[in-house]
Amino acid sequence: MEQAIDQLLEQPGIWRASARHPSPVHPAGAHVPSGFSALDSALPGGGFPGSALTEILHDEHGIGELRLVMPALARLSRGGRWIAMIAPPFVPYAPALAAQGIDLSRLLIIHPADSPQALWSVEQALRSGTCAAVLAWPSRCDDRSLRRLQLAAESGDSMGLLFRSQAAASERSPAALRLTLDESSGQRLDIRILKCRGIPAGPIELDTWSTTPVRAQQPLPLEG
Amino acid sequence: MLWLCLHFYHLPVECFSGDRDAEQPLFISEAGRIIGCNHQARRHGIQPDMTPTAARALVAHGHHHVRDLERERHVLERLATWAGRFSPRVSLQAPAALLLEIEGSLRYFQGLEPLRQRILEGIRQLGHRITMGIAPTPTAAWLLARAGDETPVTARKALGPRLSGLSVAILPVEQRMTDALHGLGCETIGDIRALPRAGATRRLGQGLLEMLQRAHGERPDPRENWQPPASFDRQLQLMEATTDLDMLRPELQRLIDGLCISLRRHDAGVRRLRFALHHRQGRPTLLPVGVLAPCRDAGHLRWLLDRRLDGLTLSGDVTAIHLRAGRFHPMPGTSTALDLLDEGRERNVTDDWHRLVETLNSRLGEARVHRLAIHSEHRPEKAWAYHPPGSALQQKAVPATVARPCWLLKQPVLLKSPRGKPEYEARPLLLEDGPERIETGWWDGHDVTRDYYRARTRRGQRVWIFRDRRGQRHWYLHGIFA
Repeated sequence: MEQAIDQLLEQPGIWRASARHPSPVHPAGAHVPSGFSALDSALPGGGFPGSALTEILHDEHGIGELRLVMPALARLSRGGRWIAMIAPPFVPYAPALAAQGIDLSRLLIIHPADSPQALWSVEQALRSGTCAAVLAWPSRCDDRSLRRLQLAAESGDSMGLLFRSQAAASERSPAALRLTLDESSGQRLDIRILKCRGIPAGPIELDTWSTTPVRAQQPLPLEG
Repeated sequence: MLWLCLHFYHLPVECFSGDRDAEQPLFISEAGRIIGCNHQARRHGIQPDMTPTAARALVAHGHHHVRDLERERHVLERLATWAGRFSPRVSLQAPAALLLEIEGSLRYFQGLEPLRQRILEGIRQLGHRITMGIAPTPTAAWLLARAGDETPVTARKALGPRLSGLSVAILPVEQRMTDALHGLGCETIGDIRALPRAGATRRLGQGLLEMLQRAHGERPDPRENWQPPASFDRQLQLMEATTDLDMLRPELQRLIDGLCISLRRHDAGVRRLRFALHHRQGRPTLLPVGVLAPCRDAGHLRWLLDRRLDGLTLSGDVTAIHLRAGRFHPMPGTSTALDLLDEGRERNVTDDWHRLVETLNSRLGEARVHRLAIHSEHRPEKAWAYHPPGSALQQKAVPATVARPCWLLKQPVLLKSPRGKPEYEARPLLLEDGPERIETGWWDGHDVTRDYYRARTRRGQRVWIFRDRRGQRHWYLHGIFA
């Protein structure tokens, strides 16, 4: 019996939560460092999962929800593929995004008419293989559509970032990583890892404000 | 050979009058001078050589355009296609003339005079004005038409005497050259031809003398035939009307196949297609399909059309379907083997990217898919713009030296400010940084005078707010440092 289990566990397709090392199915190269060392060291694989869904749950705007992903996006935008923003709640402001190091010529903004169109667009963008990251603000999103998006992200090798309200925290989700952001006092952003592939770390406090490249700066180097 | 030249001397005005109420005064300027106007404008006293300002003072309600050579060219090309009914050999003579080789057409039209009458009648119906020149060489026909000398020259030996009497003012040369000719005492083409050869070449240059040689038939004068642009415009009547999209699909497929065969024959691709589903009553349902790079792949066009059809509900029976393709773009047969060796992956990513954008465009409509660009402008709301994804954009250097928020509100939102202290979502705002004064735009009527601040709530929300320095000095939310 013992032997049979050991044999089973040697199958390359089996992924073990206790192993902090990423499984061969999701190799380390597929993770996208967030650029915040406190977060990267807490996340299995050292960053956002590269070909999977990540949910970022927050209720308030302006607490650092975009600053959290900007360094990663800035780097991805210079990697030869595109970044799509689907149904953003406000106008993505070009001068600020450029100042954060995003290559605007690699950015696509989509304003779908309704929720089904939005989900369809997210799936197309994830599946296309040409988007390194797809950011989406879906108004409604059930377990079944999340599953479709997760599959699309895997087949298109795309990082899907879904920004949803904290009410979604109690719902089931196939996303590879789920973070909730609590409003912080002052400089800090309090992040809790709801779900990840591996052993979740405790709450993380990030200073997204003073480390964020608000002023124009060199883009981060591409990962070797 | 016998050439007939149609000189559209009024073309700069006529190319604008088509889309306007003919009762409105219309005048065209070039380099700050009026060069032409319509009948109504002339009645108000507008004359060539006036400044546009003076002309506007005479007619406040008139239309003024700057001369548009591209538009003139477009109209001329349309006229060239029309003129194809009189001769198989039509060529364009820029900027405003057509040349028709008519010797072969004379028998068909039973002589020169009937042909002339047919052409004049057609031109009149199209609403253009012309002068006509007929001569054995195309350049001579052109010069005669420019001079308004409509008596045909049919024999080559009559050409020299007829041309020699024409004034140098009708030559298609720059003013500088006309002045030089006057300086040499030349009033007519005959005077130029009488100048000693070597000296004339030195003073006037080769170009003018060679043109005159071509006019006299002393030098070959080849002309390129005008080819009407290839296009595709086809309608299919359905055997029976239907509201079932699945019944339509094979018919639409037939149209696409026909288009792609035509495209292959022309070594061309299209970027815009327009399908129209005609109903028994009411307006047709229009289904535009666009691609980013010229395409003649029936499968891909079909896929994009299917995305259009996905979200469609038909308002009524479809009785006929119609496909019109936009301009044919040259697209020489691709040697795929070499391309693959060269830059395999990069090409594929670009192709996939085009496919994604085209798919999104087809399903959502092009107004919902954008690229983002920076504008050099101090007003925050005008410092950015959306562009269609296919457009080639020069991204300017990043001017941001001060913090700007990643989210901008479409319209600034008025904030409550009890006792002058701004609040966001019922939480008092602490001003962190500012003011940054933005005071600009007085020239276009959307001027702003604002003091911008970065602020945050006690719960860590960071926002970008401003105080209007005019009126009630209200506070507004304009951006969010998300």
